[in-house]
Amino acid sequence: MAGENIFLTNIQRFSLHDGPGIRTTVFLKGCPLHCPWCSNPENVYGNDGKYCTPEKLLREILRDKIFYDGDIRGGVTFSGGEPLLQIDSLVPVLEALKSENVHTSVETCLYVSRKNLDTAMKYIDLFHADMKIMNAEGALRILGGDYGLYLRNLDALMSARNDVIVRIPVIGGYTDSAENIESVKKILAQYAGSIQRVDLIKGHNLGASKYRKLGLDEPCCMGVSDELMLKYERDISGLGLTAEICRI
Amino acid sequence: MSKAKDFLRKSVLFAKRKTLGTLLKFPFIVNSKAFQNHKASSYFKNVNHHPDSYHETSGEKRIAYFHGSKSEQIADMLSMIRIRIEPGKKFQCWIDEGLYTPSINSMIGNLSPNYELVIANSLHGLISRYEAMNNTVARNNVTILRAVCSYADRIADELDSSGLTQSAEIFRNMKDSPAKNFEEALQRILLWSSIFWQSHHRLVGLGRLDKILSPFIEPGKSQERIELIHGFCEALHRHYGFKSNGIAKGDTGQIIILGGVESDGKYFANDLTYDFINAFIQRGVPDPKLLLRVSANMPGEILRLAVDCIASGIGCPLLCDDDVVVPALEDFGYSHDDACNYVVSACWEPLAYGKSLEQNNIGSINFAQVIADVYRDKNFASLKDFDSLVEMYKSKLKLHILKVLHGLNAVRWEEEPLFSLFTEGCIESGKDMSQGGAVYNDYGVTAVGMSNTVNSLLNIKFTIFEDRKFTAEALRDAAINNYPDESIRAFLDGHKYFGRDEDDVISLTNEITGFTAGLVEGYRNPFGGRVKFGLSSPNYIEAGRFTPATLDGRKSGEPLGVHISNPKGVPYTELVMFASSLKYSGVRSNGNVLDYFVSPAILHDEREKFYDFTKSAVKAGFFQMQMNVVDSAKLIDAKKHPGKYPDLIVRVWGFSAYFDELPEEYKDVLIERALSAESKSA
Repeated sequence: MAGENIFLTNIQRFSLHDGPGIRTTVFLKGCPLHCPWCSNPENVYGNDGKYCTPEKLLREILRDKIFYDGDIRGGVTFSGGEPLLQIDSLVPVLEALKSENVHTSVETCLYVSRKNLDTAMKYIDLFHADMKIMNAEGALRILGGDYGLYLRNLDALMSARNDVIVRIPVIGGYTDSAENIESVKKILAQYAGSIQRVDLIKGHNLGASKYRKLGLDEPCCMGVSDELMLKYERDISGLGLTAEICRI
Repeated sequence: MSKAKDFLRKSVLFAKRKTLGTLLKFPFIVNSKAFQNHKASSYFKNVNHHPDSYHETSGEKRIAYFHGSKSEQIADMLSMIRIRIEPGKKFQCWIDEGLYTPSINSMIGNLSPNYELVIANSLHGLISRYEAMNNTVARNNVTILRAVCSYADRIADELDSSGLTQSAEIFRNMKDSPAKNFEEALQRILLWSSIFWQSHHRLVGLGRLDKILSPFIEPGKSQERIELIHGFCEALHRHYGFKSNGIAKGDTGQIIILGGVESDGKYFANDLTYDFINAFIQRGVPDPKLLLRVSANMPGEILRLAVDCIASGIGCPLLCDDDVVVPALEDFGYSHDDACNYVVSACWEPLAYGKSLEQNNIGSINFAQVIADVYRDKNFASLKDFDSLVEMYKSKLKLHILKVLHGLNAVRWEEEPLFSLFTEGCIESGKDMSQGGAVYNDYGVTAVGMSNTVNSLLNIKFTIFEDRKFTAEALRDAAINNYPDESIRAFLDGHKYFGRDEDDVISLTNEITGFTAGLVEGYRNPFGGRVKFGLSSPNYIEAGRFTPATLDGRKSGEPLGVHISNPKGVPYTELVMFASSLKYSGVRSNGNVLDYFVSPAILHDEREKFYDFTKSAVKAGFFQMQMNVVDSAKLIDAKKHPGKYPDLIVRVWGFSAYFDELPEEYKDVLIERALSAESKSA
């Protein structure tokens, strides 16, 4: 394996909210986007983090192997930041995890190169994929991402898989407009057969103290009403999909 | 009152509640009469202030005197008990708290009698069996059994005159036939248990009730059985204050053992295993308590039920991992069958069921005290490396442990015809249990302060020998002066290692317990018995009072670490992997409990995952595990407003209690641990 080429901020054992079963979540540093509501800014900005060898990361992940083999199969989730940015460095780890029969998942925004996505699809068992601002102008202006690239990646992923978990952050002033919700629903309907579940994530300010610590301005996000969340959930259920409102 | 009588009464009061607790603190002077007198008088004052400690029934104190025979003293006691029929109750059970049976020596206790003897036999049947034998134990057995016959008659007569003829019949049946059904069996256990308590035994356990009551399971009658279990537990819970040991109400030792691996490797459980757990989920009362023996090959649904019970917040069942405990006990010297048939003392210290003297909590090792001995040594500042530090620690630990062991042989046990009746080996050998008549005659000591020790030693390693952040002198002076400089204390406090599954932490812990084991293995008590120790002790607060500052940032007098628990931020999986890497075999098997807090939200939202976690933890192989399911906010509010949560139950050490009834500093420790589990600061 290679040297210390994986840049991460944290390895969190006993994670219960990042996929099925009991998991270890690896927070990888760096993200192509700058979503104003990001709740993990420490994974995006600043220099905090540590470099790690694939061997060491693998050892950390395997420490809890016995807990992954429950009635609900758990495993490892690569989160971030955007984990697919470092997918090449993760390949040796992913190969070893395959041979150890450890379930893997990623939480991705899909704003990455097609090559990185293809590598990830070769190894990763379960994808959590985001749907944020669903128009080219807003995606570029607010998130700093290439919407065309996102759509092509989404299509590639949805064509290859039938169990994708879609994550939708519902953020006042950013993703809660009627047009955005309509766009999301349209795309969900298009890929309904590839989607296992839709998680609706209500905006929160849990990251506020982290912004202060990083010397950044606190994000200014408006909340959304419970009614809106419930209606969103109903609308998605209306498409024949399972939707859940997540409490994070 | 004559001087002699006064002495006797004080001894009684002394023996009544504090023998084991006192032994624990002062093992080396326990047999001094002067000491007993002095302690007895101060104890007498306390007992009078205890709201419901004695004579619930009558203000008059009466004494069944010792006239040279303990069995006759117990027979006299039985004839003197004031019977208190309770017409509305399912079971008849009482303790005459005004009646005393004086003892001069230490009482054997902290055991679970195997009540199968009196369930499967009639009193007359047992009398004829023992009349045919000619030894002291047989004669004592006959004396006691005859007295119990008369007592049962007296009870039956009183029941008759209260119009409770059905209950009277149950007591009469005891004389001439084995128990006929579940209800009769439970009433017999209650009667004998009350006789143990009445004769001032402390911490009287209940034993493997699903196992010994299995002949009485009738298919499809689960609901009836659960109703009876409710009545049974309600009867055991009467005299809660009288039964509680020490200052924390709830430490009664009334433990019911369920499940367990059999000699053939199969997991034993039956309908009663489920019934008991289900009854406890409904009950929501801290005493009696449950222990579930678990194994990787147990049915998942029993473990699931246990998780549901724990989630209800009553702090039990304590889980004992048979896959670890049974081999550890075999290694200690139990036969395979006896290791598989273990129960525990009042908290968690294992012992062979119905075959043991096993006084498992008669001394205490304080690993943390030795840290102070180390930094006070004049050579501390000139230590060159970590290895020489560990060597110095061991040399001081040796002195400490030898002192603890030396104290054990001073103990003299009161003659014990009651336990001798229930304990295998006594009738066969003709020797009373106090003379080493049982099959196993071992002792046990508990241990505190391992986490403080490991954290202190590793703090020294990293700050003095590696990073050179502090000098040895600076650390020593800080500790001796009880941390006048908060920054040093905070730094040490902020670096915790014990509970992390890192190689250096695990190997250091195993090295210290291994060294201790080496010293302890050489010990033999007057009966040829051995002594075992474990990393769990009830006295983390009491021992903390006398322990100087340690180099983990703990100030002098503050509580020591609790059992095997996690420092702030260490996830449960890591704690389990740490615990499963420790060595527990042989003399290290005297109770090793993983103890942690879980937020009720996790058990509410993620019950399935938590069940998976528990199941995997069993597979990983902890020794024992217990948890508090409560959040800090509720505890803080409850401390601020006593009475607001009258039903709030917490696990304290080997028992659960009502939060409101705990001393304030116990509340503080619980709050601090709950905050730490939520990664918050006080």
